[in-house]
Amino acid sequence: MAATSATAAAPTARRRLDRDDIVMRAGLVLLIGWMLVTLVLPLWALLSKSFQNQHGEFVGLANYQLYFSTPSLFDSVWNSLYVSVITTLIVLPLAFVYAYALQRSCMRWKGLFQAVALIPILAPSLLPAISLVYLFGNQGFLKEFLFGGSIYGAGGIIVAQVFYCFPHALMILVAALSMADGRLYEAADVLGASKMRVFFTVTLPGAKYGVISAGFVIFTLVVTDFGIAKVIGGRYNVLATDIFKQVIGQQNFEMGAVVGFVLLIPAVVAFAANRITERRQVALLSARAVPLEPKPEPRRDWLLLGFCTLVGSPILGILGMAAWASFVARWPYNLSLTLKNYVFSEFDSNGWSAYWNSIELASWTAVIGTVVVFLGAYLLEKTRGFAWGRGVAQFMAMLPMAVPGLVLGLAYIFFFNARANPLGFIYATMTILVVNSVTHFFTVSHLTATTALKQLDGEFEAVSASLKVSLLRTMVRVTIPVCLPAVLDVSIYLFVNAMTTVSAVIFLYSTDTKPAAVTIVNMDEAGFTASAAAMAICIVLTSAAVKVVHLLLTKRFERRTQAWRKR
Amino acid sequence: MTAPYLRIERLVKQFGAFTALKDVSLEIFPGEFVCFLGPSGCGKTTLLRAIAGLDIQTSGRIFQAGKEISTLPASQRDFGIVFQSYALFPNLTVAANVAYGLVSRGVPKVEIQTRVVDLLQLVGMPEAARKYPAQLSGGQQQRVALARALALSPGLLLLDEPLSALDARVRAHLRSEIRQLHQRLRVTTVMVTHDQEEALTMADRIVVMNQGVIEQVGTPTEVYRKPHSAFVADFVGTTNFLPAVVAAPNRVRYAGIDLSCELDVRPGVGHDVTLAVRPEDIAVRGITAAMPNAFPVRIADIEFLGAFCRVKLDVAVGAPAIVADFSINLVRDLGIEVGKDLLIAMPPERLRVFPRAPQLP
Repeated sequence: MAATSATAAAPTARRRLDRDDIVMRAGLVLLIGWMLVTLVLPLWALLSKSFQNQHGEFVGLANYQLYFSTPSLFDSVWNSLYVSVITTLIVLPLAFVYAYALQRSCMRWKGLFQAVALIPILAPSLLPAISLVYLFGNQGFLKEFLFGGSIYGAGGIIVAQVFYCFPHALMILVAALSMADGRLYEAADVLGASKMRVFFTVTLPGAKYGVISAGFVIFTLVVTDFGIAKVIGGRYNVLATDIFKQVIGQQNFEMGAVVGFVLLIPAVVAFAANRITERRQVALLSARAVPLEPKPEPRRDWLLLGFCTLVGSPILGILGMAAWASFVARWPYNLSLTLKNYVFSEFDSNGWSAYWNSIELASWTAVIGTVVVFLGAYLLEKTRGFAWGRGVAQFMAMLPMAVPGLVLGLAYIFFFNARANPLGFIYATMTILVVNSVTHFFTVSHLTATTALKQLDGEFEAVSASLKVSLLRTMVRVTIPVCLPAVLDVSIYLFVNAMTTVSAVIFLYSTDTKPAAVTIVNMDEAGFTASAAAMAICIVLTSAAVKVVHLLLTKRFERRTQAWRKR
Repeated sequence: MTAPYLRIERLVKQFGAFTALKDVSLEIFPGEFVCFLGPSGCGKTTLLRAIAGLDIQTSGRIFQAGKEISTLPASQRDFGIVFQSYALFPNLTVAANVAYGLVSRGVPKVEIQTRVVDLLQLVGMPEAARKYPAQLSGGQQQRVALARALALSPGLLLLDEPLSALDARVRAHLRSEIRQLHQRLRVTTVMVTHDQEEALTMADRIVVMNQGVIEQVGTPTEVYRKPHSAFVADFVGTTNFLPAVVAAPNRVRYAGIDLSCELDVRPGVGHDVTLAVRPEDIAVRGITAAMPNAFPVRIADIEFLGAFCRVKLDVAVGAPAIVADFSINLVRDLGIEVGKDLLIAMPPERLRVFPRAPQLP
């Protein structure tokens, strides 16, 4: 055909940009700038610090050489991997069966069991560690059950991590098991497959990617968690506590940077592996799938009820232990109940102000984070053309997931505390804590927002353009109102995480801005374990209250909008 | 002749290595209803989106109302659009959806109100103003989408498979309503569809597309009666494709039978060609052996299809059977049954001859 020769000569048409395009592209550039300042440049500062000596001179790999030839440091790598792998192997089957009971059985009190299992998400990771100290520590009243063993060390870390990671794994597996095509099960039934065979040929393959993803999430959580190892690790060193010791204990920032970089490796590897598996996952459910309705099966349902009770009660036990301990006058000698552990000013110079700092931090993180995340996701989804800009921004939005909080916190010290940085004035203020938290929890929020935006009809913007209505107006009038549940989800996620996190902020607070979770570490270190427990309980109650408000708001939204939402 | 309202010049659209439009040129006249018809992946939606400025062409030019719009963004072009998915704003009432473009134009409130009432009246939905899209059926939602697209009185109405998501009965009904609406408003309209029936019943002219090129442009009758290519004959309606050889400048030989036709193939005597004839064009009543293109057949199979019967006719051993549509009347009158011998004719003016296409007999 003659077309080929003709096209070669024809000039390439380029669409002229309208105001929307310019606004969107400018927004995307701003987003990239924000991510550069809050994420990429700090990480770069961390990386370059690890190649310098204390006078800031470039020393090549000397720090790394020292690190890998010092057994006391290098052992932490194996310790970290060990507790992470063991925790993953314990949590995965527990959470899978629990999720199976919630999704695929006719067990009673499903709602209750789901709620119980998700409570740990509202607590800082320090809480289970403190509880275990009360239960099995030197003065623990269940100490005899350890037969002379010690809870301080790998064992304690693993048990506390199991508590802490369980709900995270459960949520992923519940989601994975919620997708099932009832027709497959009917077909298997008709073909005479045994229950066992159906499980291994239909159920498990269907949930495969959920299991893999949950595994990576648990592994990453454990490797990067700081609070549990700090409280209950004893002399068992892991990477996360090493960073803390190098930086806060020995003021050896260069070695801290090296450990930070080492800690980044397993997190990045797990993250990358998870992304690759996700990409392999194709839609298991066609539009014609028939949702699976579990049928009652008394024996199975009662067995699962027993299992969930066995798993659920320790969760309540650990939580209850912390609550009880926070009211006990003097453990274990005087078990009378008192409120004096809640008079925080007796135990920490910040007193209750630390709690209010956390509320302030969490609120700002929720508000600013939600705005940045949603605008960012909108810009990424809806900008036309500008492929390189979208690619860069998309990569930067996914990056925080792979960066452990401690590493990010340390990176912020190096970047914002540098003398030449014009942004240095935010160092040691509430602002840096908020910016850090927004960045730390960016990826999950971004994915939630993106999913919500993808569910909208992709032609809304085309219709707006044909009606000569600006994208901004359509975003305000249509996109955001329709996405309101996701907006709420994101803000609550950010609030609860900013409330409970220790790892990222522990390097960045000042005396005026010390958050509650950090005072838990401080009070525990100073031996005021009961007050530490009391503060942990304050955090749990606050997160829970916010969660309840969230549920009520979501309900209200659903009621008010049921006229237009799809049934 | 009037100047075209829309002129498309040598449009090319590439997605990476894939070429979706190959040097497409087309003219659409004011007030016309034009259908882009073709199988999925033929480039019809790509062409529509290029006209709208939603996905700009790689090269080529587009003129609308005498003005070049080739590189204008969608927001600066003059069109209303309706999508297969309706794309109604779910959180806004029907009235707010229809008024959406008017409001941001700063039209006074009272005027908007009367305009919305008029538009909903126009699409036959006067009672729906306060409802939300989710409370309407698919067909009703599509009417609202149509009202919204017409709200700014655009010079061009683009319909992207507007009926494909609806069930058959609603589709047939809405088809005639859109057609009537067009008769009344006379707004230049382009509709994309893969449904030949839709195109035949609604369009003033049909643009048949295949693999990024325009195969034929013509009125429904032209496209159906005088398909320019085997593809068009096959895609629009049902056609018998019979292998034949050119015997003389205006004669072809099929299964040993000499047939006269209005020759419209280039290849000379001795070349392989494909003979095309529609099942309903095969004549049976009053045929004598002396008539042109008459020959005997035997009935091999009868398929009852309600209003008519599709009958398979064997010509000679080894030759592919011919399919003919006989009315129930005719079947009754001639006592048509399997095994019966019959004399049929293929009227010369109804035969089409195409170069032998590799995928066809």
